[in-house]
Amino acid sequence: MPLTRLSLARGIVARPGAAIVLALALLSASVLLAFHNEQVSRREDVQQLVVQSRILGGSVAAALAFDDQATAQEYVDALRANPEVDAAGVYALNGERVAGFSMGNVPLPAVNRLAKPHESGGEIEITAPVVQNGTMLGSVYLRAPIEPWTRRLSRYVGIGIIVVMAALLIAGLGSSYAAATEANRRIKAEMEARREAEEALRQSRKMEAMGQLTGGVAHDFNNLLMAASSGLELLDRTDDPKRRERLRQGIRQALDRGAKLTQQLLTFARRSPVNPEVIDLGRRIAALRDLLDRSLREDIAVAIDLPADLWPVKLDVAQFEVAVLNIAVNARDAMPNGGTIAITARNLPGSGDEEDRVALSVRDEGTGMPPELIDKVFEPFFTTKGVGHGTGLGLSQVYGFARGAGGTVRIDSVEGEGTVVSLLLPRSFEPLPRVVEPGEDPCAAEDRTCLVLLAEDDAQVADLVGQMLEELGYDVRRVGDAEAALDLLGDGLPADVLLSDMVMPGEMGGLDLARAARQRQPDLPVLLMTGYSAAASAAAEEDIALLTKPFGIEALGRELARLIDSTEIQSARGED
Amino acid sequence: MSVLTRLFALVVATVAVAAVGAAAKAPGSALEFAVKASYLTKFGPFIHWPPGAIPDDGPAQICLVGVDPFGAMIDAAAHDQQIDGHPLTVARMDAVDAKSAASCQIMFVGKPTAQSTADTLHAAAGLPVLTVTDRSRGVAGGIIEFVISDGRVRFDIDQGAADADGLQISAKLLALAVAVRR
Repeated sequence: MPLTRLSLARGIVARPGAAIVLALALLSASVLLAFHNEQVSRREDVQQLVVQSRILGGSVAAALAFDDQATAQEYVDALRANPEVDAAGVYALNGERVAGFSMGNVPLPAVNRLAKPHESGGEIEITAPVVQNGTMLGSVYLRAPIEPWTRRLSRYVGIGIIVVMAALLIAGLGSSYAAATEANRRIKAEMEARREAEEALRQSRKMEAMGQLTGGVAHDFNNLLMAASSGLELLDRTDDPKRRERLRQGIRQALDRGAKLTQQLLTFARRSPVNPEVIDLGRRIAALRDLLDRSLREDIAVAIDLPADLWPVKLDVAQFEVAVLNIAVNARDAMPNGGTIAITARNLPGSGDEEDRVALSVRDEGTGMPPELIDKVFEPFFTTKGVGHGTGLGLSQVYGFARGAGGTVRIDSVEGEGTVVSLLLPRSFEPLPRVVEPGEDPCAAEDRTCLVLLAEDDAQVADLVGQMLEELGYDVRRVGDAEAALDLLGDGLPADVLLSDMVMPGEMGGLDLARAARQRQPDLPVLLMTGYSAAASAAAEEDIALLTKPFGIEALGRELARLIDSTEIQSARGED
Repeated sequence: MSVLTRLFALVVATVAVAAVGAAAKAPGSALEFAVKASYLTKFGPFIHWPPGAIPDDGPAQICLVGVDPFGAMIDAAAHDQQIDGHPLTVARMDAVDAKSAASCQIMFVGKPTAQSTADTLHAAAGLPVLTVTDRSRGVAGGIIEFVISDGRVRFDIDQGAADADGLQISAKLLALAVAVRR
């Protein structure tokens, strides 16, 4: 109810002109009040005079009755002291004047006639009978000046000014409030319209970008497919082992690049699961060197200079590698005539609120960028390259990765001299995990072969992954669904690791299986495989290791070794 | 009896003639008595009689005992006058006893005829009767005495006597008196 009233009041005030009406109402109310007060005060004045006349009448009763003119005059003269009385008279029963005075120019009436109080000539005349115990003895007469209008007005001038000011204030505030409300409404409408326009613009940009992207990606893929299919054709036509090996590598490379391109798109679309781990930047960059050399041209030299005491950072390795690759590719494209890409890193100790960070910088000797371009390079699909030469996703992926890792990207560029792209990554205080070399069987130390329980419904994938595992030196036990896997574990299968697909037929998925297995055997490492990111982020939330499809034998071996190793380290610690 | 009555009447007539003659002889004496007659009829509103002192359904009465110096003037003055809503009448008598005195509310004691001034006042003593004498004409006593002061008719008031008779006199009247005895 109060709310309704409030909004009602606000609604009234918000209407233009309502404030003026309010102000006028206030003014007229004040005038009416003043008029009423004036009337009341006038009546009170008259009443006071009537009372005075009665007092005089009572006082002079005896003097009137017994013709004591001196006494009557004494009583009348007492009124001279009253400034509100101009004239006063005492009259005998026959109307003749007995005593009295008149201070004004107008003399006392010679004969008094009883009448109601009445005004004449700016003065008020009062008459009253002199009665003693019901016996009429004579009459009295009083004349008093009426307060002139000017004086009465002057009494109201002060309050009048205040009221007028208040009314003006109300009118002013009200109309400005109404104007503000109106302006606010217009701004809101404009903002809404603008938001809609921006939404439409974003949508159309997206469509435009999709067009560009489709062109770029299709072109890239076309090249890759071309390389792969022609490689396969050539493979069929030659028996030279050296040539066959080169062709296989070419096909392999084309497929890798295709996978990377897909990965890049997914990363950009934030559909790729983020799997942060603590790493040593030096080691990672060194491992990237081969990839970098392969991705860049022959006329591009890569100089890596990283100090040994770099702080560890926590980030998603796959994204990190893509980001570095993207920066390097950009650097390459900025140097059409060749040059050196210098990769350096240093620790940036924080001060005050700033945390410790590690800066990884990639410097080129290329064309550089004008400053107005620097702000735009992180926008998705922004590219300075022609169709077919880039997707415009590169630096926006770099930016997305850096933000996701809790850091940021800085670009310093001088036109004609080159560009420095720096990744500023927060220092991690978590310990570095023990690094396991891929292909190193963790169970070899115990003179046995590790057993992997593989749950995968797709026979083809299961077959492929099974071969990979065997290639890595693991024993494999394959099942088609989660229930079967749980049964085996329940029967006491001595599995060293559970490798499961995320999406499987039946009531239980990979995630449910991982939970159930953990419940039964808390020290059994679990690795889930998926190509779908939404399910992957659910796994990441529960701290379950994840391998993103498609993956190579290297990644599988590294991940399995890491899991088994860390579990053994933990259980070894638990036994201490 | 008839001789006595006749003689009495004669005396009265003689005195009256003598009085009127004296008044006529004295300058302004007619006016003086007119004023006194008027005053006698105007004391009423300033006096408070005890309850029952004035008969409920009767008039209030001014009694003139002894010589009446006012004649028709007092009848004219009393006309239209009232005391506490009772019409005012004038009665003339030569003598009063306690009973007849009780029928008066105001008693003017003039020069004695059949009864001495002291006896007349004595008869009214203790009764709620406003006794008035004219000291300026040689009759003194009672609650109010007319006097001449500065050539004007004024009066003295014996408040003690009024209290004794159960009468309350208005302060307004007391204020007008030349002298007030308490």
